[in-house]
Amino acid sequence: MSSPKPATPAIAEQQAELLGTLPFSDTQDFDDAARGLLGRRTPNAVTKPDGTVVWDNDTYGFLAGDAPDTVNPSLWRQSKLVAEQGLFEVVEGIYQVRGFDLSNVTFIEGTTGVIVLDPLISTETAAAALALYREHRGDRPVTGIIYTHCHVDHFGGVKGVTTQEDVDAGRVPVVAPAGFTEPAVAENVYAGTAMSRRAGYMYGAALARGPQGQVGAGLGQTTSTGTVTLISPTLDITHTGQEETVDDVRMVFQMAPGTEAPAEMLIWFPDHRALCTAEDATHTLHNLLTLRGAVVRDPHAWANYLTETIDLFGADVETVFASHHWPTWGNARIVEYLGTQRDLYAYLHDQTLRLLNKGFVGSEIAEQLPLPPALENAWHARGYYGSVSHNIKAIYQRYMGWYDGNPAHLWQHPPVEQGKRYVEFMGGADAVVEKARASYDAGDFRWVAEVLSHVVFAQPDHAGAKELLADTFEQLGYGAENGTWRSVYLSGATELREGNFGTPTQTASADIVAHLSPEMLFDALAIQIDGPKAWDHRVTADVVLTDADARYRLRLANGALTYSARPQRDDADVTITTSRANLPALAGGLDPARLAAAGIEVGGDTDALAKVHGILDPGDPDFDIVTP
Amino acid sequence: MPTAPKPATPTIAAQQQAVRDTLPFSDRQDFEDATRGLVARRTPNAVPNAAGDVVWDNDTYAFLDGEAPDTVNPSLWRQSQLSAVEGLFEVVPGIYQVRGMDLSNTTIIEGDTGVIVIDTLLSNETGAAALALYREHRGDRPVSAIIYTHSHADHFGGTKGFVSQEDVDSGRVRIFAPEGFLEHAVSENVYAGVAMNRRAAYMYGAALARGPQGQVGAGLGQTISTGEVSLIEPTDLVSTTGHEEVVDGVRLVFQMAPGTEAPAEMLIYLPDFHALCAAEDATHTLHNLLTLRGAVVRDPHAWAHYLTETIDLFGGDVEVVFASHHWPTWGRERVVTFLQNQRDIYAYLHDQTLRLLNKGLTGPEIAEEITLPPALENAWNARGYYGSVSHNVKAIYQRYLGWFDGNPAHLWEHTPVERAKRYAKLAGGVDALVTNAREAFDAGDFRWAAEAANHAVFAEPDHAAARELLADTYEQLGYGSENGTWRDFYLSGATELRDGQFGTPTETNAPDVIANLSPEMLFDALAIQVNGPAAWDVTVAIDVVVSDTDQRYRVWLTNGVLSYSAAPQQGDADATITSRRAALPALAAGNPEALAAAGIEVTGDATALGRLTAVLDPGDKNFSIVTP
Repeated sequence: MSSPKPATPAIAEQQAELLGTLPFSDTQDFDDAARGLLGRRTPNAVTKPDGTVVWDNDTYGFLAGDAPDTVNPSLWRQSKLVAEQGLFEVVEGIYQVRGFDLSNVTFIEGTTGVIVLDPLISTETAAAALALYREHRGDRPVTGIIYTHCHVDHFGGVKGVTTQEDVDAGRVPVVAPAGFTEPAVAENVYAGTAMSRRAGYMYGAALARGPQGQVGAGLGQTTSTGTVTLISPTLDITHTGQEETVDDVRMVFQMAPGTEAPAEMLIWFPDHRALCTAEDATHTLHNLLTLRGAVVRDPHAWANYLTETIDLFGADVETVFASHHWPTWGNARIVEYLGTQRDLYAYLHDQTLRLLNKGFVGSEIAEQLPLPPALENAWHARGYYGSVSHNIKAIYQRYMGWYDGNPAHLWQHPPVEQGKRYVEFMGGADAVVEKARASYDAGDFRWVAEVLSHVVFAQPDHAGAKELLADTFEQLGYGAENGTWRSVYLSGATELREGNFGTPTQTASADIVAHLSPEMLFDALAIQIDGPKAWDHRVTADVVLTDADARYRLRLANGALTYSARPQRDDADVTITTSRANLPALAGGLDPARLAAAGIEVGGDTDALAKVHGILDPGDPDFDIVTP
Repeated sequence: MPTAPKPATPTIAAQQQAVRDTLPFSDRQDFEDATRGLVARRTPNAVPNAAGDVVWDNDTYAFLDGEAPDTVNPSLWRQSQLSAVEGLFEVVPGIYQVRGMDLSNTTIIEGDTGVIVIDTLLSNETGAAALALYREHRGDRPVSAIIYTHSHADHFGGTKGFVSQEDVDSGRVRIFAPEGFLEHAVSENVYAGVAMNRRAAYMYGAALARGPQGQVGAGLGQTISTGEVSLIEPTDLVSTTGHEEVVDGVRLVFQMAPGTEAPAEMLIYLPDFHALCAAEDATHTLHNLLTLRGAVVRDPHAWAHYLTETIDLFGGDVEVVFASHHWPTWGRERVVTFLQNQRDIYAYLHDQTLRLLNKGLTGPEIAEEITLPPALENAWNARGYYGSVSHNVKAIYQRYLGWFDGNPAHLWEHTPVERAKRYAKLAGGVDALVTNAREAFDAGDFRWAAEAANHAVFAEPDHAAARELLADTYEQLGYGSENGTWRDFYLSGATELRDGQFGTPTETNAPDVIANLSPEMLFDALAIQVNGPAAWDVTVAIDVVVSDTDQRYRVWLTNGVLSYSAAPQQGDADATITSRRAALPALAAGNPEALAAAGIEVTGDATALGRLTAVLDPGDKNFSIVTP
């Protein structure tokens, strides 16, 4: 294992400069992050039944004192705050467990029990959080679940705090925004393999934790790696102003679809004068596009919903909390906080459009746009998870697409061919590495990364290029204020030095697969069809659900698998008959023997189905990123 | 005096010959279909506006005769020959189309008392000319209804060439459109409108001479007309698939297809004629998932699904399919094959892009690697004349994963100019870059020549040899392009490098479109012009009262952001502006004379609006594209 290198003088200078320019004397966040502490979990490690550690906040014990030169001091500060763990009283009757996962879980006490809002990623961390809560607040039963939105860190631990039986029996309502389930499970269907592989980079799952490794993801420290579960909502929230009472706790909902998540809602607790902002106002500039890859988000809608939040609740609110980071108390501070968060998204959106209408492209706007001092110096508006730079490029992409309008960029050679040509005109690989070293010494790491990446793509075995590129990524990581940038850079350095680490964390759990609709299962198959191998095959298959009165026609032609639930005019080659519960077995492919073993009946031309199975070509969780 | 174009190089000539040798040019069915049912032509074709300026002249494409010259891709030449066929055509008795009078077609269906018009072209002038041609041959029938199939301007802009606002207001003429039509029809110009219009000039080649070395056609239609764009609000919104109407004795069955080629789009079945109008969802080209002028990326997955539904719903009964671009297809079997191929092309691109991105390939790599099934490769209607496999695949990658390809070297690159300077330095100076590019040009590697010469021009914009070589390179790339919009983009780039910038020849901000903007969209239009750094110390709050619609808004400036709300606000505004809805667009001018002339009343601090308008910084219609 290669040992990390120290920060170069250029990075050390940058860190010192930040210490002089950002308002480190403002320590209000440290007061807020520690306020209301009732108890910690000591030691913090949370394990699976087999003893595997799925979460351990104690590994961040190194986050003490001043930032070393290998960590951006602003990120160091954020990580210290985020690594605060324990059970906290938000207001009387509302409690949070923080530092037990990427997200927070919130407990709201009702007359007979407790409502759990956003039960973390894993059953193990959620159960540990509930246990800590009960240790200090008594053994109250769970009387309701709320999912604020459809991201896994807000529902995955649900079976750690309740059971499917309790929900089915009507003892525990599960409240969620309308449209919750589809996006909650869809993400794993389409680009899931690529997203998971890239998420390994983004969260630094393969990195050692420490001043030269992973220090935190900005939004939370990192993701837990336990058991992901899902129980379907039983109560849909459909409109702003909708009121519901669960276990005598009154709630008023504000819908915010298409903001941080496709299905998201904020919750006002009038009896507590407390507002839960879900993930739409947190202590970071959030992502409009996550680095692991995602559908781009809408900052314009996001800002407008926060204006509405202030209009609806700004006069009465005394406490605001979210499912990440720490609360803010006091009406004036809250209104200022929400207004600043709103202005941040609106400013990035509007200024990006102003400048793109002057012909600037994403990278140019990202380089030149300054933030207003009031935003620049608001700690919660800084880019620990999102960044001004990658968000601006995302806004450009949202409105204009990948193409920047320059004909030279319409039909470029792919990276390897580009790399070969760049290396040739720059005088060969050795010469480029030598010149790049001079740029490295001058601290121009962005350039060194670009030019050496060409060398590595042209000549993947060039040891000198790989080594210097790894060193360069490392320095870029050390300098990054954004937790996910740091992890991406350091992950790249690690793979260049030690080889591909694959996908350490998988999120496609059995519960999630079980919630896939038939259409999504067919889509999951369709995107595995190897087109060139498939285009000479014409196969039709009917999928009949015995207990759901549904019948689908699948059709393979022209290398594309399409489907329909409508009546067809011809007979299918093969018929697959299954109960709805057994249908998820299709996620494993179409091998007739395997399907039969899963209790699925296959009739007709089973050879045809076997042929389709044979041309399925699943994704590669170990694909290369920093090498071709 | 424009620089004279140059001939095709031997490389391009050889490529054109290879196209001739591999594509099925002997299949002449499209030529039969494109001329079938000709009733009459408009001779001469030129359509002038009231001032006598020609806004459309299909006769300028008369050069499209005989074999393709070496300067035009033979496949594009063929498509342009077909698209340039103009006249009034009988689709089936009772259904007529005027084609070749604009980018799009207008379809006229004869009812009991008059005619129903599907899609009204882009300009009033071409719309009126088309209607006149129809009436000349089919009698002076009144227009009894209009249908907009979707929210793009070439499908509604000529409406006032067919009917007047008064015809609609009086109830004599109903206008049908898909739900969400109006909002989408007008919103496109609000946000990135300036940039899109400037880039649209590149895409449609508005500043290019027409001819074998210039513009030969846009693939979807020949080009856009440049007359007056109008918009009359629909009277009847259609929102459900299967919805039926009988209009002037004609039965219409609608199929909704939102979020396909347009955000609001619908197909129409005419059961009495066994005829299907496919709107713009099945045409004789692979369509755009992302247009080169810039746009929100489209959803090929939904698109393919809707075409499956189309086949399911109407495939058993249909005898002819027509669309608002290109020519019809007759005969049930051919129609179904056509719809299946169109469905399969979108499904195949979507599914294969996802398969390959889940193996770690990035957009440019997938675009290079993907191969189409022979049945699609050889289907003329599936070839990329308007969309292309290459740019659509990159669009699908972008849709699911965003602009970032996961390689840390690409996360934070320098801007184009800074990169160019560094490449020039590494290559040994701009001259050396140009030499390298020239070698690539001579070797026929135009893609690389463009990349290298583009760096040279961005490093040193006045380097005459670099500009000349880059222009020559773009020209060859244009000559080689099968895609009409690629050709236009490349040739426009060459033209600007040689003869200077041509700005934005065609504007789409028609008064009728502006008048339909909601107050919120107008505020957005102002917000994206606020110069953030100039504005962040300015605070202004203005109440806007819309007198005739009884709406009231607070608009305010903080942190360089213009926000607005329709909710009651705390605190007083600096000023109150009272305006009729239609006069609101005058707000952007800001000066008292313009406000007074528009009948807008200002009370309170008379300087408030001026403080806001003083920080407005509109877009630049002449921004640079091929130079920094």
